[in-house]
Amino acid sequence: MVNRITTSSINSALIQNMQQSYNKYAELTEQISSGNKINSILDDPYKSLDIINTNRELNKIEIWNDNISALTNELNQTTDTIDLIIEKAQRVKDLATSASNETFSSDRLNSILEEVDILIESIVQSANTNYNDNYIFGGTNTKIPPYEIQYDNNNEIIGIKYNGTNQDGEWERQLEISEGIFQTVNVTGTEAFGEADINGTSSGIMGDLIEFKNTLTNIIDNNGQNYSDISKKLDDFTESINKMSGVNSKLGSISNKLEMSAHSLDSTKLNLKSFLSETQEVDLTETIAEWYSSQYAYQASMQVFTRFNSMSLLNYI
Amino acid sequence: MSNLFSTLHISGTALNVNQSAINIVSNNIANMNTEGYHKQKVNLAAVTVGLPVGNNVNSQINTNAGVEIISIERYSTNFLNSYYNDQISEQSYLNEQKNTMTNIANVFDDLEGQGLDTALQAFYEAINNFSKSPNDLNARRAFIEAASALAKSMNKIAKKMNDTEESNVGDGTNQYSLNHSKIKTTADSLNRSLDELASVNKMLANSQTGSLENNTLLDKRDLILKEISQYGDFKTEIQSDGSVKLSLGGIKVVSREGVEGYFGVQTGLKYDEYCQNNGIKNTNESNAVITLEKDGEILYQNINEKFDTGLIGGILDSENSYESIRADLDNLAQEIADTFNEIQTREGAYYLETNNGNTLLSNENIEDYKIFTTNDSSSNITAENISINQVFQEENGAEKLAAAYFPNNNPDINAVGNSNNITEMLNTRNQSDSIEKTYDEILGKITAAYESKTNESAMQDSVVQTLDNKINEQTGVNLNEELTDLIKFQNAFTASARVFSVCNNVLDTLVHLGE
Repeated sequence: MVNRITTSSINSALIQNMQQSYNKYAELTEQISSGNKINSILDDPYKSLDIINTNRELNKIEIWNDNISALTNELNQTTDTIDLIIEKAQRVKDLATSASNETFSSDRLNSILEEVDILIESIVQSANTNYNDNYIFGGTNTKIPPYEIQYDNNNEIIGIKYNGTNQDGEWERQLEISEGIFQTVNVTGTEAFGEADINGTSSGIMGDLIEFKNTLTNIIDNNGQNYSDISKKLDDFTESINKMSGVNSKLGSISNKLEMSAHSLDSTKLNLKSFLSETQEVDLTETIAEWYSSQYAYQASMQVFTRFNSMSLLNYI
Repeated sequence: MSNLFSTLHISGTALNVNQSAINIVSNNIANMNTEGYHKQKVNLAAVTVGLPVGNNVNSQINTNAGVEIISIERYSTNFLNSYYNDQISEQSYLNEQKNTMTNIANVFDDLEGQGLDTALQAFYEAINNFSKSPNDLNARRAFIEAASALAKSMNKIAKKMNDTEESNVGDGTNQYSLNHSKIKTTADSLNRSLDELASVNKMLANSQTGSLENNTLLDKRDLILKEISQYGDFKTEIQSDGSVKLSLGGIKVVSREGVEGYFGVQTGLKYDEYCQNNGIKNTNESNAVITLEKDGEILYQNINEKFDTGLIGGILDSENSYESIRADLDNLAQEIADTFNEIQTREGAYYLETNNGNTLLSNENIEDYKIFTTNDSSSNITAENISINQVFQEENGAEKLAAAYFPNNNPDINAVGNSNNITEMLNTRNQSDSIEKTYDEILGKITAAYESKTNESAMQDSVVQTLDNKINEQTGVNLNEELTDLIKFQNAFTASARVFSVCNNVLDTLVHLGE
């Protein structure tokens, strides 16, 4: 005996199939109209987690990119300033070269001395460069000018004091440029320019400036020093200028490194974005093709339903 | 010799029988779309007459006495019913669990960028900007705003969770909220079904007194039983009169006499009170407790365990899902608070002081300057009560954020550009046990549970659907079958009428024989 089939069981099966086709059709329609395959975490839980993670990574990369451009800007400002100071130091060195010429009278020396004073003030001013409301050469002491010119009672320059963080302290200012990698932005004044504190050490270009000035004063005042002492200073100047150039090339290599990081971040970003669009966004060609076929399927199931329902003995009695 | 009157009588029974049969066909067709209707079939039999036959052929003929309907058979699948009802219980249990996970997943839906993850991202972005300019008050204020937004986003999720939970299982401590929850309305509709079953029981006991069945009442009974089985794993025991004894885990719920007890929902608090008064070991029930009560008297206090499946079981079990996710969320809140509070208040951390120029001050009042605190009196941080410390909302409160850190605690008070502490905060993002990873774990847990519940429930749906079809195929109405029957009975009726009329003519001939 053939299994019994009842009108209502066939009907409910047909309706169920029709519902399925309609669901598929509606789902594809929504995907196409929204442009997204995944609109809510419930659409595809596992892929949603991927999307959340990717969005988070993209957000991080944006932060790191921002940081890199901030770092690059400040590095440029720093190298420009150091270049400017090198230029001025070169001028002082030129003055020293001419002053070592024993034919110079004390009048000439006095005028050199005046120019040196002006150059010292200008160099200190440059070293006190302020970027983004921060003094860039002060280590982490960003709110007080890193260099302070010390004067004696006659208002003569006798020292250049460094007020920033020392090289052996907590001087680094850092920004994150990729996962867990923090890049230092700054160089301290002592590292680049040294200092000439009257009560402390004398080093770098700042020390050279004060020593040169003192030598000049001593020669003018006949205080036991002579022109050959100036010649000895010339080597010091060369050394200090090389030191500053060295700092600059170090900063230059950091800048190159940042550029490379930015490039690699950009390519990561591109990859992540294409992954995101593959995961989340609709492939229109494919989806529209599917949409058409689901439309046909839906139409077919509706037709079958109506045809089936008109088939019964009822039509023949 | 056969009697002509008896022949007439035979055609008469055939006319009656076929007319009744058409009545049944008519009823079948009328109910072809009625839910729960079982097709009825006319069982015909030749009328038997127990005459001694012996060698007399006339007696033998006289044992033929026409046709009669011996029963109206109801196409039923009683052997499937209890299995089917079990599957329905399981289906509504799994469906409810799926609903629960859907509700929870909706709370955590983060794809639109409104959720916790977005708040976390914004917070880390604010920390990064803060690390760029540690002495900038605006960057500090932005940090505080982001921290506050993060706390509020946690509060919002916790509240949404609580609201969803409350609308399902009610607040286990508040009878009012319980009365407006899904568990209560579900119990109420279950009680209504119990009433219906009891009244069908009574009608069956009154009407099904012999061996024949009252088909429409049985249809109704099966429909009600199917409905009741949605709610839980009820055991049915069908009596000879068709009435049903309904029990749940050994507790009588409906008997032939009527409803033995109605399901009530009371708060966990009330149950605890009862336990204390009666010396029962206190379980500290904080959730809804199902009772069985009659005429205002509670017969069974806590029968939650009896509902291990079905809709009510699903709702009761959803409590566990909510609880587990809530615990995870509270841990996350605690982790956020601990992570940042510890860095903010550690020894060697210094905050900013702008009154006397820009200098650094030590965090002497460590406890006062935690970033995250609770907004109630509780000392434990939960997702519900996490909040930003009010100190930071005051004027110049932003200064109190400790950006600087000196490892050996030998500070340079002018080092206002020191951002070691913020860098440390930023670095928490890169740890293997970072906050975001913890959050991912929670999301992973939710989505995995959602996925598995969805699959389980879909599988169970198809099991029920298959059974449904199977039952429907065996018990439903097939139009072609009915129409064939109709024609069959109609033809039989017409033929019997023809026989009747021939017989009549023969009688007529006989009557006029003597004229």
